[in-house]
Amino acid sequence: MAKSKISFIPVDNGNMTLLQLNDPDKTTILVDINIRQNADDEKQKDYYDAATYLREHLRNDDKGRPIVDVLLITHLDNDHICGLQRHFHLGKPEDWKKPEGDDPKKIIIGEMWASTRYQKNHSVSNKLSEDAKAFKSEMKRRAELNREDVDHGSGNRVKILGEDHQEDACEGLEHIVYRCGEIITNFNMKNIHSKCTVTVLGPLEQQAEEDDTAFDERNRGSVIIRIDVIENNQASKILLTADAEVDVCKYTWNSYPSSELEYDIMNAPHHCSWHSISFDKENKETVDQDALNALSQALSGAYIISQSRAFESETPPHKEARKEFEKIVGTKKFLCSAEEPSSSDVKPIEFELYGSSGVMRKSSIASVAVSTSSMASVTKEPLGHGE
Amino acid sequence: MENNVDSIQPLIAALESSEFVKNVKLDIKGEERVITSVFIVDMPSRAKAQGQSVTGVKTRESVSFHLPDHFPYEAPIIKFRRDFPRNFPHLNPSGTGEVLPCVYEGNLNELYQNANGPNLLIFQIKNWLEKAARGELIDPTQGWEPMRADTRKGSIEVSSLELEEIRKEYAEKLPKGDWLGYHALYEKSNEFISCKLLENGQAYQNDDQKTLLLVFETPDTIETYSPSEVNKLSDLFELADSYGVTKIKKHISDIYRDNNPNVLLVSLAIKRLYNIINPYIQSKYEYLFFAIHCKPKGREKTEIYDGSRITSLHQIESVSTQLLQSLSGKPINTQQLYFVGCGSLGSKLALHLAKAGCDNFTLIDPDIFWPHNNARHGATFNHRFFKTTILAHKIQSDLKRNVIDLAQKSIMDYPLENFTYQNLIVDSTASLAVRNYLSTSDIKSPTISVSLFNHSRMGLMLIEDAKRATRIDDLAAFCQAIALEREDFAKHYTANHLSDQRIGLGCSSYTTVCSDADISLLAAGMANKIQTLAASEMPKTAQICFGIVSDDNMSIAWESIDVANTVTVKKMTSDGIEVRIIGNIANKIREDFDKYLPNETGGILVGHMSMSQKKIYITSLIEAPNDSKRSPTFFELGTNGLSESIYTIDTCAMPIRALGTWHSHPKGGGPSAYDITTKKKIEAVLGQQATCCLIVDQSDFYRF
Repeated sequence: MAKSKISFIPVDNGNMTLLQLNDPDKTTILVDINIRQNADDEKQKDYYDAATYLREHLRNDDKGRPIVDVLLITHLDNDHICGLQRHFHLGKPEDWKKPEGDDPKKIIIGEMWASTRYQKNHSVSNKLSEDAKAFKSEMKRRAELNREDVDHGSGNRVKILGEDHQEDACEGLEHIVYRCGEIITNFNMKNIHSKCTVTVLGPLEQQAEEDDTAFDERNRGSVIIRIDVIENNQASKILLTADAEVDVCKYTWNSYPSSELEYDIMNAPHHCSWHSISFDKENKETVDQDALNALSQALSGAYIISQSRAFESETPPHKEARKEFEKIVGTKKFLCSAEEPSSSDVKPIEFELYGSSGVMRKSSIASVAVSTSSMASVTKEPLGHGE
Repeated sequence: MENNVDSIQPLIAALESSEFVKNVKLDIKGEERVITSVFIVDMPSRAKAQGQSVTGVKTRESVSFHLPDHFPYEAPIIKFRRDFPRNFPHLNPSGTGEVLPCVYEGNLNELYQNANGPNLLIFQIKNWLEKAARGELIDPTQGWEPMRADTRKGSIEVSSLELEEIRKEYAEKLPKGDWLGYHALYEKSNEFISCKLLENGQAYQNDDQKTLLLVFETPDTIETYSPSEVNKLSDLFELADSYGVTKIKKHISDIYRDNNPNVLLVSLAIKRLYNIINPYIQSKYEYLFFAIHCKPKGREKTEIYDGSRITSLHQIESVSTQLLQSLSGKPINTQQLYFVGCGSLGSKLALHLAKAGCDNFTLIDPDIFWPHNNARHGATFNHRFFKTTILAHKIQSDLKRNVIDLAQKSIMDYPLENFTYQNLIVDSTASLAVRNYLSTSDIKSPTISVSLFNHSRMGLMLIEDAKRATRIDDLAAFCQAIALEREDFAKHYTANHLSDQRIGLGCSSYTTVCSDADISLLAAGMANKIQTLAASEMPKTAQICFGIVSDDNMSIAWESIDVANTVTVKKMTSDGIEVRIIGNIANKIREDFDKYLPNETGGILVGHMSMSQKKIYITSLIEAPNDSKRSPTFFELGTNGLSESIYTIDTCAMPIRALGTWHSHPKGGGPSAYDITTKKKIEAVLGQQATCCLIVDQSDFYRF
C-alpha cells in the first residue's frame, strides 16, 4: 500500500503544505495556500504551478468536484491565504457550479480550520487582503451554521483551533473548538484516529508577562500543530510552526513537555526567520535558548524545511537562522523549498511517511530498480517462449 | 567453467561504478569465485540515523555474489549475511542457513543475459534491500507471498480450488478449532515424500500408502510473515498454537491413538491480510502442508511422540479447470461438447479444447485405434482399443476433464434426445453420410463440421447458426458456389486425392497422405474457433471458414463468410423433394423481382440435387439473357449466350448444374399452361425429378 505523503509546495515566502493520507478514503489536509496569480499561468514560468500540483493530488467527491477534506489557514497573512477565492468554492456547497470553458473546477473545502482570530475585522492595524476577507466571511458562515451541534455535511464543516484572542470569542461554538493540547482525530467527519491525529499547540492564551500589543500581533495568533501520521501503530511526526515568532516559540517551549514538540519534519517558522529564535533583531548571535529548544526536538534523521525564497539578500529567510537549524539536523537535512531539487527548477519537497521508521524523501526511493513483481519493465531484450 | 577474469570483469565494473556499492572485492579460492561488497541501503529518516531499519536491515549490508560454474550464462547466486533477518518474503528456501534473496520475479539467469544485466541485477538487489528496510516487500497489489519453508523434502499435489472448497466445507460444518479429514495417498522415495488427495471413488493399490489430510483453519487473520521452520511435531504444535489453532495437539493425538498411521498429513489454513499470490484462485487463505512421520512415544502405540519428524510439503498445483484455463487464457465452453469422430483431426481438436480447460465431452466413434493411427492421432497407443477409449483416457486421467459419455458406435445409433439446443456437435468424420444424418431436423444441437482437403492444404469449417436455420448440408452446398467464384478455394476443394495411401487389404482401406504437423497446423485454428463459439454462443448467422496453407507450408490464411438463412420452398408437387435456397440467392431473386415490377421476370437456377436425400440445393443463378421478354403477365427467357453459360456450369468440377428456371408472378397465382409446357420441355432434357422450376410471388417461393 502506498504510504501517506506530505508535500511542501514551493510558493516563495509563503506556506502551502499538502498531506495525503493513505486511509481508504484518501483523506487530504491542506495547510495554508499561497497560489499567486502567475503560479497558475502556464505562460509565466516565474512561479511553480502550485495550483496544478494541488489539483492533481486531490480526489473528486461523489459529485465530481475536487475536494480537500481539511483546509487549515494558520493566520490571515496574504502569503498563507493567497488564491483562496480563485481556486476554492466559498459559500454553500450546493451552489458549486461547473465552470464554463477550460477554467478549472473550484475546489470544495470539506472542513475549514482556523484560530478565533479570523473574527478580527479589517483595520489599519489588521489589514486584510480580499482573500482574507472572503475567508473570514466563509468561516463566519460555517460557524453560524454550526452553532447548533448538527452536522451540515461536507463543505459546511468548521473547526476553531487554539485559544481565544478575546473573551467570549467562541461563545456558543464550544463543540467545534479544539483548545491547545487537544487532539483532533476527526477530519471532515471521518474518524481516522488510527491513521492520523493533529495536536493543537497554538495559538496559546495570553501569557502573564505578555503585553496586549504583542498578543495582538497577527503572527502571535498563528495556528501551530503537530500532525502524527500513523503506520503500523507508530507515528511519523510533523511539526508545522506557521509564522511563529520568537515569543511564540518561547511560550511553546514553556507550555509543553519536550516530547510534544518532537518531529521528523518541521517547517522552519516564519520562512526561516531569525526573529523566530532571537529577540535581538540586530545581533545575529544571541539566540533565545527556550525558543530554540522548542524547535530542536528533532527525532533522529529529522528534516527541517524552509518554505521560503532562496537564501539571498532579502530576508527572511535568514542565513543565520539556517545555520542554527543546520546544527540541529545537519546540512543535508535542512531543505529550502526554493532550492529543491535545484534553484533553477523547483519542485515540491515530498516525503513518504513510515511511522516509527521516520520519513523518506520521495525522490530518494529507488525508481530505477523494479520490483520483484515487475518483470516486463526490466528486460529490454525481447523474450520468446520456448517451453 | 569460465574461469577467466574477463567474464567476471563486467560485474565487478558495474559494482565499482555504482554509487551505492562499496568495498568490492573478488576472492578466488580454487574453484570458488566470490565477489564481496557492501550495499548502502537508503531507508526512512529515523531508521537511517540509527543505522538499521525496524525490520533489521542495516544501512550498510554485506552482499556476496557467488559465481556458478556456468557464469555468466548462469547469474551469480546472491547471498546476504547469515544473520540477516529471515522473516521476509521473497527469500529463497535454504536448508543451510544461508540467506538467499529472490530479487527478481522471473529467471535471474535470463535477466543477467540482458545487455545491461549486471546493472539490472545490482538495482534489483538494492531495491530488494530498500523494500525490506521499509517493510514493503509484500505488495498488496501483488498479493501475499506464500510462506517459505527452508527445507522441503516433500510435495503434495492438490488443486487450490479443491483446497478452498475443503476449507469452506470445514468452516460450515464444524465448530471452530475442529478439523476436517480427507483421504490422501503418500509415496516415499529415498528421503522424498510425495502426496496427493485421493479422488472420490479412486482405487488405491496399497493400504499402507493411504492416510488422512487434516485441515486446521486459523481463527484470526495472521498479519506477520515468518518462514516455516517446522522440523518436528512439537514445532508444528508451537506454530499452530501461535496462530490460535489450539486444539491441534489433542486432535492429532486422538487420531494417532485410534488409527496408528505411519504418516499423517496436516494443513494449516492461515488467513492473511491480502489474497495469496496464486494465479488459480482468489483467496486470503494460505495453506501450509506438513507430513508427520508418526512415532509412538513409548512401546505402546497409544501416544504420538512429539519429536516425530516432520517434512514440510511443497504444494504442487494439480491439473484443474483453473490451471488449464489460466494457462490458455481463453474462456471455456458453457455447453456440452459432442465429438462425432475421434480420428486424427477430431482427437486433436478435443485435446486442444481439453488442454485449454474446456469440459464435459462426449466422444462418439465406432473405430478401433490401429497402429497407423499413431502417425497422426492426438494420442499414441500400441494396443487395439476404441479411439474413444484412448482419447477419453487422456482427457480424463491426464487432463482431469469430465467425459460424460463414450459411444463406440455410429452417431446414427446414438440417442437423438441428447442433442439439445444447449449442446454443440463437432463433426470431424468427413463423412457425407454423417453430414446428411446430422442435417435432419430431429437434431437440435447446432453442429460444426470440420474437414481437411487436398492433403491438408485447406481446412474447412461449416458452422451452423444457433437455431439451425442454415444446416451443414446447406453450407456444404454453398461451398460449391464459393468454388465457382474463388479459384483458390476450388483448387483445394475439388482436388482428387491421387496419392491416397493404402493402409489395409480391403478396398476401403485408404487414407490421405499428410503429416501430423499438416493436420495440427489447421487443427489449431479450428480449435480456437470452436472454443470461442463454445464459450459464448453459436452465431445468429451461419458461417463458412476456410484456411489455406501457403506454399511455404507454414502460413495459413483463414477467411470467414457469413451465410444467410436458408429459404425453403413451398411445395406444389407431390414428389416429396425439398428445395432449399442457400445463402443470398433468395435475396438476389427478390431484388430481380422488384427490379422488373410490374413485369414478370426470371432466370436459371443452379445447384445440385441429392437423390438419396431427396433434396435440391439452389446455390447460384444464371441471369436471364438480354433478349428475354417481360410484361405484367408474361416472361420469356431469351437465348443469347445461355447455352454457353449453362455449358460452363455443367462442365465445372463441382457436382452442380443448371436445374431449371424461376420466374415471378407479381400478381400471384399458380403456373399457367404456358409455364407447365416450358417445364415439360426442360424435364425432357434433365429428367422429371431433377428439374426444379419455381414461381416467386410477393411473399413465397413455390415449386411446380
